Amino acid sequence: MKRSLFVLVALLALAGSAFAQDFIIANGAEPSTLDPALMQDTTSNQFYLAMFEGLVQYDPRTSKGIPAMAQSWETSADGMTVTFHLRDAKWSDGTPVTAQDFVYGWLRTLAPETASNYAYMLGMVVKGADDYNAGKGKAEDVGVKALDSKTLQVQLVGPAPYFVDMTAHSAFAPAPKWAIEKNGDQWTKAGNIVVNGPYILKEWKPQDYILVAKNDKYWDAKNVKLKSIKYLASDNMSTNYKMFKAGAVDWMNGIDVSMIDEIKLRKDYQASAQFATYYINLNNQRAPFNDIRVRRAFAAAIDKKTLVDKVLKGGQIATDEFSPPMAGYTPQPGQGFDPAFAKKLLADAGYPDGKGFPTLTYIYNTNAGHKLIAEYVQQQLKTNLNVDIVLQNMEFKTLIEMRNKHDFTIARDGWVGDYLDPNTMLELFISDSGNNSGDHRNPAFDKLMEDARMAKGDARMKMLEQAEKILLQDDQAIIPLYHYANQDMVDTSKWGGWYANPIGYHPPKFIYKK
Amino acid sequence: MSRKAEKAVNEFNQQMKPVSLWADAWKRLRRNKMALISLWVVGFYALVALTAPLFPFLDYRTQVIEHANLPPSLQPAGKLVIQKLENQKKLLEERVNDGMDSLKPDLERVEVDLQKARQEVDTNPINKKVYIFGTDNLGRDMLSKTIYGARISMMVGLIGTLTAVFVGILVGAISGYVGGWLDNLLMRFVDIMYGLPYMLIVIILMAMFRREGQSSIFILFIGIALVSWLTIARVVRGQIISLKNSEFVEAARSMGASPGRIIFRHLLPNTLGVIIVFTSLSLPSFIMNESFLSFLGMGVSAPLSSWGSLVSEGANTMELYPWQLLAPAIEMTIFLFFMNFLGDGLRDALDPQSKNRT
Repeated sequence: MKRSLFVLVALLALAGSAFAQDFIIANGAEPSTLDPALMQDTTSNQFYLAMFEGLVQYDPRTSKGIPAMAQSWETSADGMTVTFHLRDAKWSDGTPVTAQDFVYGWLRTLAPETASNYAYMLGMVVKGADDYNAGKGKAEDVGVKALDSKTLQVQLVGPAPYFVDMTAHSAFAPAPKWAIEKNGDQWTKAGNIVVNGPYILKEWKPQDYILVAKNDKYWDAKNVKLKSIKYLASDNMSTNYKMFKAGAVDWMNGIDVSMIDEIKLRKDYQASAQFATYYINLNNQRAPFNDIRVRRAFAAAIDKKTLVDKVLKGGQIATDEFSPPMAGYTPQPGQGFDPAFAKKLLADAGYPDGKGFPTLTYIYNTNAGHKLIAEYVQQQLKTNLNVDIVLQNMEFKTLIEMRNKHDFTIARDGWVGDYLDPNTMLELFISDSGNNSGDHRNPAFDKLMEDARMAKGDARMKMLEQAEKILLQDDQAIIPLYHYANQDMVDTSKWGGWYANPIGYHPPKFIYKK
Repeated sequence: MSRKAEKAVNEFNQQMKPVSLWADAWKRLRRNKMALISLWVVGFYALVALTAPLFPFLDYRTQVIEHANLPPSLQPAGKLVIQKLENQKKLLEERVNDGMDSLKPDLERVEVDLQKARQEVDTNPINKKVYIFGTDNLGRDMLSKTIYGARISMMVGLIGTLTAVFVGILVGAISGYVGGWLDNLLMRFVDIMYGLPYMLIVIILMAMFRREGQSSIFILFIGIALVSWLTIARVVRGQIISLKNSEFVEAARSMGASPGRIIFRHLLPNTLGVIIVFTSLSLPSFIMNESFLSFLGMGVSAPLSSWGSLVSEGANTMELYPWQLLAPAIEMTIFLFFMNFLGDGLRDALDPQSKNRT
């Protein structure tokens, strides 16, 4: 009797824990925000994918836009006007999602007081958006209008062919005006938050985990399979990997680099090319990197191929270019590895054999992989330029903050495209872009990027190529190291709906247990 | 008379050569075998750490990427690389035969590397290198890394201890001897410093004073120095208070000795036992503190390392490459173990209570 009772209790406990959360994600770091208008990093973006939905959403296979809040849309003949027809959907508090919510959300992202780092993304395509964001125009003049509660019309600055795909991004999210006005910047707290996506925030334990549960008001709730998802904030890949092996984590984004030889042999390791670039950000306005020769010398002093083939070994592609190659677009590589030339450049800049060169600090967020790369770069610079740099690690939030404030000299950086077009990579370096951490300023570059917005087809691609040429060959504003590979640990024989895709976003809506 | 005296030898009629405190302590320390062994071991560590820069083969910076993650061995690196690549090749082949086609490019790369390694095993002088403690994930020699790590860790211990001794004794002695409002002031200051958690102080210092291009190690030293002297100041003050009214101090005072002389010539020697014991036992604790900070990623940064940072890095890879954890961990444990024994022996040797024991 006693024994059977014990078994029963044990069974109940097991069942209890199994139902507590369906799917556990090792999310890599603490998200910096849950407010779609302020999201900037991939860790935060995971929660956009879970809790919010834009006009379109990312196709889990191709990363292209597929209908979401918008049921259908049509583009005018000149490509300058797009009209979206919204479906009947509700916010989590029962209010219907209207075209006005989109107008409010977009204007909120653009409002100068919101200080969204992604405002420039709207500014690039939506008419009048840039002026409003810069404080030069009025909100009424922004080209986004609600024709009625279910029809949204957008006026573009040019025939941007990537515009519809772009609206899957968090900067284009609708926003619940009433909730934001009631709770201010506390509106994303559990209990306050109002969402229109498949999941809603249940619990947020800072530096520990975030728990989201299925949102029954979601328009497609019947197709949402997972009842709840737990996102762990651990940035220790080694711990995450051990948890994954023990079955305590179902999907781990990123891998434990030091274990690559073992990980590679596992069937639940998923690697594929990603539309993303790992690079070193140099502060272009701060000495000594305000000298092009120094920037170029640094770029020439780092052997990227050895780093990728012998150290990382995870399917990354060593590169001197920023935008990954794609149909119709030929990337324009910057300075490649050439230690002798690097020495000469540094000598020309006034530091023969590194003499008199200041000791600089390289900042990176705490992560074994970034640390490995930082130490490799440090030693490359020492060997090839006789230059010393000091490494400093910090929390991801702090790193982002320092980069945004241009408060660094050298920083590790990485960029994942938001849609499949070179534009999403290159627009970072427009002078007033919120993600222009290295403070690259070149009017010729800005002009080309602006002209590209108005252009179409092949001519547009040529302009973008020209812009990348300026960025990397004339300015060497950054040092690209490699194109990322998506590296995930997830057992696809157990979980369905998870596919390798170029952007590496995996909307949890589609994930189910096989 | 003299003959008589020679005959009757007892402890009251001998000509006694005065024995200094130090000679006496040394004599008794020598009799303690464990303490003596500890002294040798600690001395050896100190010697190796001090002279490391004289040996060019101890190179903690150079990365030989081809030699990454080699196990500890007396064989030359070239042979180990071949063994490692052959193992990898075998594993990859198994998986490729299992149908994991995605590994084919990796297999090809390993084959190319293996071919190159075989060609160069005798021609390339770098392949003659022997790594008795293995290598880390960027092909750096673990032996050199642990030795240079020992330098940092021991420096941390030494700086902590020295500030503790100088500042602590000074503050404690003045506070105890003068007493009154000064005592009150100094001890309340110590209380306040006690109230601040050590970790917090170091973190705040890092945030406030870290400048471009500056290594965090100096701030770490300052942080350790700031808090290291508190306990010893308290201990010395208590000792001084309990001694300052004793007869020998009164005798000195009545003969006109200055307070400075009384403190440094009469009072402090009598508290020396406590100070030395405390010091030798706190040295390991400073090292442990630094290790903990480094473990959290706030201590030293590459290419420098300390025992703590090495253990922290090694812990991440202990399943595949256990030596990256074991080499620094064992080295550190041995040092701390003998340091504690040495402290124990010193206490026995310097304890005034045990002075007349044989």
